[in-house]
Amino acid sequence: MSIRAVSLVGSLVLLTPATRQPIAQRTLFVSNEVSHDVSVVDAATNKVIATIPVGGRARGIHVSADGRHVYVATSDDKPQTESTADAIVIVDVATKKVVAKYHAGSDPEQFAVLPDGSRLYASNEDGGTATAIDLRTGKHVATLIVGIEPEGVAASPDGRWVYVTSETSNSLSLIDARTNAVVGNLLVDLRPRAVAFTPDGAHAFVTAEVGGTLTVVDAKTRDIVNTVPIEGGEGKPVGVAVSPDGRRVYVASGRTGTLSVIDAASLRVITTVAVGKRPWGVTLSPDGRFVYTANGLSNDVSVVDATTNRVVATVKVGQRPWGVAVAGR
Amino acid sequence: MSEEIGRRAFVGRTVAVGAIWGMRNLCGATPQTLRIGVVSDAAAGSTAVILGARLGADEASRGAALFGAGPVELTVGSFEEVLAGDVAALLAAKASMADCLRLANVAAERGKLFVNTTCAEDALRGDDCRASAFHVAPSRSMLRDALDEARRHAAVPLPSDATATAWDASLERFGADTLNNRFLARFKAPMSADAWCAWFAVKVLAEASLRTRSVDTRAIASYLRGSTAQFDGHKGRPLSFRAWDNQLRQPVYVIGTVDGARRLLAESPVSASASATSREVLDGIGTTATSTTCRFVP
Repeated sequence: MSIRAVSLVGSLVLLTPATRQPIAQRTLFVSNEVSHDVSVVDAATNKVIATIPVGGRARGIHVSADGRHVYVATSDDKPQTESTADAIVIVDVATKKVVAKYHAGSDPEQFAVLPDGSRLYASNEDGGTATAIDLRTGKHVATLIVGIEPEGVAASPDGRWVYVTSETSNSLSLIDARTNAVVGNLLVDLRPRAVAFTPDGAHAFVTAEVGGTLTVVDAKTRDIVNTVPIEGGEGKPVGVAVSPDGRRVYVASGRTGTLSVIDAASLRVITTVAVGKRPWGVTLSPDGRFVYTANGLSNDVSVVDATTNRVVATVKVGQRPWGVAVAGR
Repeated sequence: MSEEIGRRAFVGRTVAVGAIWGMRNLCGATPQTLRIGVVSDAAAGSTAVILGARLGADEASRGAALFGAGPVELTVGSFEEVLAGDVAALLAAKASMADCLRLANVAAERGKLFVNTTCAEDALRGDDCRASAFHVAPSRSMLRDALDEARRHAAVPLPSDATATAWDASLERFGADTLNNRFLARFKAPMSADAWCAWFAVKVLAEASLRTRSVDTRAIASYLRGSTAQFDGHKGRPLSFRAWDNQLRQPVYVIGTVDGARRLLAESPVSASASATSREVLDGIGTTATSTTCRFVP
């Protein structure tokens, strides 16, 4: 795979130490898979304030560690072939404009950014690999062999580990980010879709869509320590997020249209909240007060109050929303 | 209640498997090879079953390598050639009911498994059932029930060429598109139902081997028919084998031509109640536990 500079805009913007303006206003960035764009939502009013075209199927989405950029994984509509639409698109939070585009291997779907902002790891669904990209240069620094149909990616809070799930081989690959090597693989439940670490980095939670479960991995011993049935094993868990205080785990169950709220310590399912149709991505506000789900079939985002576990707003966004990232406090 | 207990048992086993793989990697035990034979009299050797089995074996080998387990080796050849190899399981590339029955009998006699990927006859799951034979191919009665259900639920009459099938290259949902794309990219041919059945047969044999850490036929068979074992076949629901006749529970698709293109017209069975489990829903087509005539000889 060759390294290609995809954008004329280049990465200069990222390298410039611009005046640090903390973004006080909380803003949601929602990736839309079918409309090939990102909806920008003012979290105070729950209204769409901008739509940013990104030139491909927008799926994985995250905010940079410094909060100034949003990264979006985009791909073309033809898997098995690499094109310029297979990229990580970088959006400036302040100007809401695309400022750079990094080549990311074939068909990038999900990714994780290391907490120090140095690198990004993307899963290449049809390639059976994960690609590590240096975010200062846009260059590929490693291509790692993981399982078949890699999907979910998460970085540990200390930036040492990157976990990648693979749907067809039912595996979780453990990557040492210091050496960029796969140091182990765990056999998890059927069709693992997403993974999230606890804020202390002690555990990781893996959703298994066909298995209908949430697998708990001890990050230190690298063992599976528990498997929690979601909706009695009949749920279809996809997206997963852990609250900033580490006390709650939120699991989006795509085909049942629900968000399961789980106590991270006891692993008891506290409640199941009905959200929009086919929720996929789930994320929390930095203060942990709100949970957001991107609902693919109802083309909206559900805003759930984490204190009451009730849907307090539903925001119409683009077509087939996939994920949500939160910028600002 | 039994479903709940089953689920807990499964959870327990997942924990054990996870731990064991970690240990095994450290110990560096010699990996064992899982050998699977495809009986084929075709000299060309490129039938859908063979291609499906090849993709299944390649993917299973890649998956096994992640866990330090041995590869899945495929032997394609005549009945005698395949039996001469030390295979744990047999598939048939193209088979009549008589062939399927013969392979099921041979498998029983020689302590091997026969995984049926082509024969739909209900008798193979009924009076002629064998404990050593597992059926990935849907039975005639499953296919018939699916087509009947699709007709009952259709708003307009189904096209005249509507048929019920285990798989079709036009399927997209539940990750079917990624599997269809992988098959197409590899063989430049669409993935047919026979190809899917063979791919899935190899996948479940390899997964049973991986989860039991064994290439022993009995260990694999008992895992496959275990009450908590379930598998992912890119069909959305967890798939499993019915204990009473070793038939794979699975959604069946009704496909037909609409406006000149092959289309998915219906998926069967349709859930009758919101609270039904996947197993209960999937048991809505084909032979039930109470109506089966299968009596496995211990």
